Amino acid sequence: MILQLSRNPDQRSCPRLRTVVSCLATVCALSLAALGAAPALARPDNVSVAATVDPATAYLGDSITLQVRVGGSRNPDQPDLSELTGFDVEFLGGQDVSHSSVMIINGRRSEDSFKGYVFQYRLTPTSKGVHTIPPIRLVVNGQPYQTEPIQVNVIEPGSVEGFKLRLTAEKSRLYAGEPVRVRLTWYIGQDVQRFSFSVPGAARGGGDYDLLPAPDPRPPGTREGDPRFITFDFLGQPAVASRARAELDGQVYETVTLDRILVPHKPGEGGGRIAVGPAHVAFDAVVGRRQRSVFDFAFDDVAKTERRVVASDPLNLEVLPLPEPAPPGFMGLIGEFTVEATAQPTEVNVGDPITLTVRVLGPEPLERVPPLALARQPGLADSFKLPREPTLPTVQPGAAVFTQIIRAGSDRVTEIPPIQVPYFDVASGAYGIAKSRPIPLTVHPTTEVTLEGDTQGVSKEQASGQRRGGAGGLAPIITSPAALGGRDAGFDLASALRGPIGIGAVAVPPGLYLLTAAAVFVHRRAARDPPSPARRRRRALARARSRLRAAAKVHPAVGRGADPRHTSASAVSAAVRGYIADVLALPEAGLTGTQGAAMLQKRGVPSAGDAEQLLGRCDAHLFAGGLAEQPGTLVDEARALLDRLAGELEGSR
Amino acid sequence: MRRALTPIVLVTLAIVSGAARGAEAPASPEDLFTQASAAYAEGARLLSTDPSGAAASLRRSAALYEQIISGSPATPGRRSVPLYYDLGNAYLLSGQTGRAVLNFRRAEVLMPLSEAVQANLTVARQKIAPDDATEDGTQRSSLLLLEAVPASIRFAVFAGTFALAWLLAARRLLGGPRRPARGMIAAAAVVSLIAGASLVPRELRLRQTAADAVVIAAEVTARKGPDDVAYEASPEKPIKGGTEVRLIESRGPWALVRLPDASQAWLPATAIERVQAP
Repeated sequence: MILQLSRNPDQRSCPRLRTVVSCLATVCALSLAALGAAPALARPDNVSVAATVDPATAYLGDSITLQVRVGGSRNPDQPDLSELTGFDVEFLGGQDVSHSSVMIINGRRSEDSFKGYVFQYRLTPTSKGVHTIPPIRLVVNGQPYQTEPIQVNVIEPGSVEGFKLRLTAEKSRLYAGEPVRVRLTWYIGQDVQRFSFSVPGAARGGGDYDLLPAPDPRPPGTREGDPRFITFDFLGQPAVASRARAELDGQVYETVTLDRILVPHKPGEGGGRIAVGPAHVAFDAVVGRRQRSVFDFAFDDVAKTERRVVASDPLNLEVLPLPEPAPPGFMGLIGEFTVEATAQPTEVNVGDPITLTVRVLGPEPLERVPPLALARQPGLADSFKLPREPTLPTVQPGAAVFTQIIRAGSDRVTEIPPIQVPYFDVASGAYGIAKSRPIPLTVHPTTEVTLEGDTQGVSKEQASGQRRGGAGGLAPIITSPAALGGRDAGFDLASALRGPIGIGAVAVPPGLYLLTAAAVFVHRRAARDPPSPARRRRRALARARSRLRAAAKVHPAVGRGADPRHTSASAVSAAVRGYIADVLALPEAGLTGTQGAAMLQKRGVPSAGDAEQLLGRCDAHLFAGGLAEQPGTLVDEARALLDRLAGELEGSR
Repeated sequence: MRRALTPIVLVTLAIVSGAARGAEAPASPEDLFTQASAAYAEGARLLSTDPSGAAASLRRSAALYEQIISGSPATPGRRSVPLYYDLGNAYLLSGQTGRAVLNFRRAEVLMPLSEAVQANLTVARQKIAPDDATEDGTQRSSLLLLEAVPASIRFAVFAGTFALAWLLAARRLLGGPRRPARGMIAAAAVVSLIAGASLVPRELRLRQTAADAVVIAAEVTARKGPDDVAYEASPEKPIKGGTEVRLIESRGPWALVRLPDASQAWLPATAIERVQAP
């Protein structure tokens, strides 16, 4: 419209006006565009929220399923159902329904992805009529969204032949806070499937009463799957009911009996009466069987069912107020209660811990028994050191059990006085006090100072710390400057072992020991075992060569007065004779060249004659002075002879 | 006039030079220890009459003990069981339970038989979980009694007697009239064995507590993952200071720990400190 105005030909005659209008139009267009785009900019286009119910029409007492579907987010905030009235709401859970897929067709790749989340609730209508589920608000990606309102038609169930539901209570007149057992009995005249119980208003809590679980009807040792019991979901919690057969109005039914503990909060408005229920049970009644088809498996269910709802009569209870005033220490226990107390040990020293066990016995549910404050028990705080804080009970069948550590404050204590628990006695209609029997104690004196303060869980060490009188119950600090002396905290064994001292002390001495042991071993073995012939020959040759080398070194130096030829002949003779003696394992002393050569010949050594000849020449030189050859000649000949002898001895082996 | 000015100038110079010397020379560990003990005593005295004054004194005491332990560029840090113990006391009375537990644990690891350490550690633990505090279960074996002797001395005894035993044994192998008697070697070996074995419990403790840590923040929110935005709190209740945890993994500014109930959670790395001092 505005754009059309700017294009009006009538305005062309006035350029100035046209300019102004054009500017205004531009500004307005931009503003409108911005307004229109604002939601799109503020939230992602792909976010969607929707709520659906199934079914849209339900019997009173049956439940419907509410789904809140969110598109465009995998983790939206949980919806706010606080404004939903007329229904008991049970959250069944949420599920991420995101998915993605990739398709390649003729080389063209297309990708499809979806992000979504579904919240699911079970709604049980509490009254008949047309109910409107208001817009459900939730936050997705930081932005608020809401669903469209939905209408649900709730109709009164009609009479159902063959089924009855009874809601009864142990007593119809009770006091506010008094637990009373109520019983829900379902009479079943034909086969049923998929059932659920509901008691309008009971699931929300905070109303006129609480409907609490009763003790498990199964006796101890009952096996899983016992047909006498059935487990199902009741008001969002697992419940165990008894199965049996019973006769009602002349007809035999199978029964399912569920017990609960009802605790009225306060007297009802208008005459003190409160109404519980009517309770409902919704189920699929089996009305026939369809023809089994070829597509059915052997165990497929072919039952034909119809959805039915049966209602009980409401339960009217008269709830009386408790008399005023309540006695001091009354914590709301209503019923008939007794108290038992035991102590262990009963003969102690002053300050020794005593385990006091208090059992409060009374009607279920005993989880309602309040914490026991021993410090408020008359006569107890004066004589005993007690825990400051009350403790919660441990609930056992038929009893709430408190366990506390107390300590006698002096040796004058002779008993643990009765533990008192005030309660309201419904039988007499008056307040009473349940008392335990006093527990006799024998307390011996001790020189140790009595502890101060909280004694719960105090250890001996802590007690000793307190006895030492440190501040705040602590053992005192160390003020001696010697506290600074130790640097032991930084000592590291691994580093010390890797350091020079560690290696020197830990690795070197064992190494030295091993070397010594090895040397001693070798030495002793060598001394014990004779060498083999081959080894003996090698050692003999080495020794003879060594002597010849010595002879060769000797003769140049022998010129100072001594005859080098004489000296050389003596050394050569000794080396060769020594070699023969070593090889033959004979003593060298006394072995003559002739004897040695003869023994070599016996062994088949060809050069034995050469040896005899050489030794003869040496002897001639030494004793007859018959040779005039140079000393080096004898040595060289002896070396060659030894090599030959060694080779021949090796060959003759 | 000049005569009158001279003493003033001299006194001024003396004060300035004294102050300068005081500023240059850092307090010795002994001085700091004396100050810390005095501050602790003052804090303990004021506990019942002036809680805020007591807390201030105790915090100062703790800071001085920390200064002794951490040291300075001029003086190396001192670490000892009594220092950790005193520091734990100062932290505990000043309300810093997490750091108190940490320092008591450090003292306990080094000297598990200290009755005072055990007693005060129990008190500190009770402040965190009154129901979980347990009696000291430390086994007092003969070997642990040797923990009273510093580990470095025990190591020196072990190394010396170990080397002596081997060298005497080697000498005995060589034989001869002056070889050492077997009894002498056995005595050295026994002393070495005892001294060496006495080091084993300490080493085992150090290895077992290598991953131990303590929450030093007053309270910290644990997370399911290493991010306080992307991951929700788990457990929902904050973890109290002083809670003893076991370090499993460190990842940047976050640490995965095993909580006392055996569950695992991520905590900011700055909220915990290892029991074994770096």
